[in-house]
Amino acid sequence: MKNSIKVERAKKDMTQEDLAKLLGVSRQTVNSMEKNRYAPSTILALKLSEIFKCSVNEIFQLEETD
Amino acid sequence: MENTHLKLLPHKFKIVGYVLLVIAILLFGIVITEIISVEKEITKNIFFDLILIAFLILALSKGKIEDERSMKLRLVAFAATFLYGVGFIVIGPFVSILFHGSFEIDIHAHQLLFTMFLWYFGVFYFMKKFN
Repeated sequence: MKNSIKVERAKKDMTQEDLAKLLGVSRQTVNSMEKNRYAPSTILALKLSEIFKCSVNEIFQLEETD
Repeated sequence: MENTHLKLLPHKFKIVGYVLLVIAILLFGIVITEIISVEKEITKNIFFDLILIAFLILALSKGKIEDERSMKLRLVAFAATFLYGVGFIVIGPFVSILFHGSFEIDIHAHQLLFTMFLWYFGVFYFMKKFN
């Protein structure tokens, strides 16, 4: 599963630290998600959708291997 | 929304763990330097008990920021520690026969738990840093 968290974050001109604070997670968690090393829970995905004002499907996309 | 996280001790309990660790190390120092004459076997047991309680408190206390990823890493580290413990007991005798020519492993339960905790902390912090 790939995601566009980094792009969406850049659009909002936010740092990983800013996003981490809004999500209530550590900066390392945001970094891991951006690098596709960690797939967030549904709750976190919905929080991201709320912050970026776009649907979860726009942020997360399935890959062929999924 | 229901919280599916493990129930852990508050972060401030880490201080209790560190204090117990310091006490254990001081006790170890007293025994080694023979400042006070004490029964070595008893103090060895007290030392390991204190260390294990300290490690348990440290392992079960929340980090500064505890989120779903750190919880996942914690569970992976617990699983890795369990496998390490099983591996140690199963493979240990074979390693012992290579080095000591005996199939018996001379390890105290305290020592096994001690290494298991070290393994847990190592795996958890390594994954937190590099995963």
